[in-house]
Amino acid sequence: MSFTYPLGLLGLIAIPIILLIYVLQSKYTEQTVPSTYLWQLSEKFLKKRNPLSGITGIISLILQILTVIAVSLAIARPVFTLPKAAYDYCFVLDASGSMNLTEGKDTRFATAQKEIAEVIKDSKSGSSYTLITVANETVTVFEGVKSKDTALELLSSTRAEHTALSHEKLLGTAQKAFDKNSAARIYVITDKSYETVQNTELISVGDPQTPNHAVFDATYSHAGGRLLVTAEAISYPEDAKLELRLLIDGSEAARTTVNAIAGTRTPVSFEATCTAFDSFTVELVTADGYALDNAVTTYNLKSDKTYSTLIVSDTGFFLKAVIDALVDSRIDVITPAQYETVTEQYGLYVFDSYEPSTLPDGAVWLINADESIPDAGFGIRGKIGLDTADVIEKSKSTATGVRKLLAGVEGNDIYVTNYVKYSGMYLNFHTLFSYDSNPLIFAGENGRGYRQVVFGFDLHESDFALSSDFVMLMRNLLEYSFPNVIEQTNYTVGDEALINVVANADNFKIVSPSGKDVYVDTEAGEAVLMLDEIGTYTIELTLAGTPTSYRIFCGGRSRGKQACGTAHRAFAGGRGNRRCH
Amino acid sequence: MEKTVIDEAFLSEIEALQSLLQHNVAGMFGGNHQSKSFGSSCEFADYRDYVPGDDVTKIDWNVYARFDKLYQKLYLDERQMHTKIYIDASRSMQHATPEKAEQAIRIAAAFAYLSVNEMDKVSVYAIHGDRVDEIISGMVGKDAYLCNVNLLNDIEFTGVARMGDAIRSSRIGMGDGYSILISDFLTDDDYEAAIDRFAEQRRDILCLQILSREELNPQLRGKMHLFDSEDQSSFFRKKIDKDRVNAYKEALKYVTERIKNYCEARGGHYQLIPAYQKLSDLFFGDMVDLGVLK
Repeated sequence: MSFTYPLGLLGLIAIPIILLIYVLQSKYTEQTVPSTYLWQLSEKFLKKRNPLSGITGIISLILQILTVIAVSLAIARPVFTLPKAAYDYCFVLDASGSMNLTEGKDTRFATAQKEIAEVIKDSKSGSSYTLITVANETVTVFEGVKSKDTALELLSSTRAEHTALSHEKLLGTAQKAFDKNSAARIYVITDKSYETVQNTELISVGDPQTPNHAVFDATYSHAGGRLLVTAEAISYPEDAKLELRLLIDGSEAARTTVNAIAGTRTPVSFEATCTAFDSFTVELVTADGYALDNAVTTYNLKSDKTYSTLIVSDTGFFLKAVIDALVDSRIDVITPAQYETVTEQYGLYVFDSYEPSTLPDGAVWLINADESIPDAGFGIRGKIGLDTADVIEKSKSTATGVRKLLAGVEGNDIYVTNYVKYSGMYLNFHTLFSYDSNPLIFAGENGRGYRQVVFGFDLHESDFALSSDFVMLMRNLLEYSFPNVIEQTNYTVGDEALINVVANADNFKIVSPSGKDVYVDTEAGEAVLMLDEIGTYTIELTLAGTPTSYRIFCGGRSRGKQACGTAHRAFAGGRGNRRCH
Repeated sequence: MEKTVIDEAFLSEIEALQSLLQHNVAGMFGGNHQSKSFGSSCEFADYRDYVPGDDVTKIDWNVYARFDKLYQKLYLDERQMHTKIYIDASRSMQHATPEKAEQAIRIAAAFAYLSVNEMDKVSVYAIHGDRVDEIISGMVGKDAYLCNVNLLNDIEFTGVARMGDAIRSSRIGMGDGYSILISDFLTDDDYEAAIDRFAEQRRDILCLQILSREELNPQLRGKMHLFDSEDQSSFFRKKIDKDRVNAYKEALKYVTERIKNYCEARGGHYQLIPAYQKLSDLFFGDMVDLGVLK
């Protein structure tokens, strides 16, 4: 028998105290009274007592002692283990990136798998097995499996991730497993150092002194034919002198050496002459046992925007001038009567005081639309004329989308004389300006899945187009309407990359660093790509009929100063630790 | 006595008490000094058959006219009474609870004062062991009272009091007034012998039992080893709980009932007096109810 919280047994100290009190209470108090005559006479009048009443004190004492024992044991939580009995085994396996470090022939993770397999094989028949892997996510691989073969097969299918793992998460998972079944034998298998782990058996895999270095977060500036690159290097187990080099499009362009302090990110910088590049890589000259975080690559972001715009308006030349000034785009201007004959695809359609019968495939701006349009995402309640021009109100929303669209827009003293009152808007629309609580300028995704901007008034009936805010807002709306497929090329494993499903984009295909095809939902305007491998992801698609591709580099995540080499006290006491190399 | 019970304040109190009694009560011990023997006073008492030799002047001729038979009229005798007050001077009257002894002295002094006001003779005795010590003897009149009453302060409450032996061996007097016995009666000593002795001597008997608050309603609890103040070899060693206290009260009731019945069976009176009771409550309440004062 063992105790989960042995300190609870301290409660037994109360027993001698209770006995002492009992003995002291049992002592007769001596006193001289005028006469004992009546007390002695009372013996004759004493009613026959319950036989148990004479031992009431003893019973009370026994009950008190039993209560103290019961409470102490309840706090101490004894665990009874019968010899030669089957156990419930629970393995909490560290599946973080450092477990991929190769030491000797095997990685630490493979060593951990062997250790678990050994325990399973040595266990008594009838035991049950649970395996929980802990990394960026906590996954119960199997639970309560009775068959050793099944457990071993499922164990061999597990893989370490490339993400970081906090001590708290690992130990928290072990604690939860213990809380769920305190009678289970719980093993924590990790390469991290702990002094003790209560209620668990710790199996340490790997040598914390094994060299483990990494490079992170490369950024650059490119101007005047000079490429300035900065990155960060780290040495986990101990201070080290690290040699790094810069490769531009695969060729070494610079080399430097830094003194890295254990567990601390150390900045690294390179400067090279370069007129153009597709990518550059910062890497450690001497790779360690975990090569995936020894290099970081940055790709030059291409701007493959489909800047073709169609303006449908009787007076579209002002809009053309504005858009032309803000983006490098091909812009066609036609009258509403000509629109029915258009067959060409455009990236952006601007309808000024005109309502098409159906919305086109592409981003749409609807200016002063006063008749309902299918899939437009709003209803029309009528046109409202004001007696005098009045100020419209800028949105005070702190939503990210609104702040992005109103960046640089002050929104003061913008007047309208007439406006269209809209209702029943889609929930995804962001209101940017409103009048009398009625949305006047709003943006969102229409029923056809394309980005849409709506102006609820005629630009000729407002002074908005004459203000500097109009230019800022148009720039933001054009950025919104012509999104890049990807916004950045550098991520860290565990991040989510945002892929804009732009107009005319089709046939998305994403390939992970390990060569696996990754599925993302491209039905919506934005697709989210989970990055769980280290290396380069390739995004292939057809843009306006032309095959094109983008690359994203996903680097390793720093595990912080405490990841290795520092012992952590987790809980108190413990069943035992062992180290495997 | 460690504390002076009879002092100026007490005498003032007793004077006031007497004054009130004069206005509200007919008199001490019935207000008349009639003896239990028939005598030559003017007050008619009873009839009896005439026998030759009787005083013919006492024949009731009216009755003879009606019944044709001679009846002799009897008259109460009238003479000076002698009130004798006996105080139990054992240790139990004072140990730990001096108010019992104080109350006994106060009551004795009060009865003595009321008696001397009726021009009766008063004697006060303290019972020590098996003897009766005379504290005040044959006191008559207020002046004598004021001169002698302080002697009550000198009574020593110590040892035991064997009332039966003490009374039997003392001179009691024959049918000439009240014998007042003041004690806590917390003894199985033969106090009945004392009462019987008073009865034999045709004395009016008044037994006053004085008990302290603790004796009336004991507050002791737990495991107690109680020693008797008069006899250290006598002890009581038990756990005192609710049941025990109830039994104690039953015993107390039994003892008081027994004394009361014994007195009343012999034409006497009995009264239980808490040691903390005021004299005015005692004399205007209990003594009137009892018929001692009318």
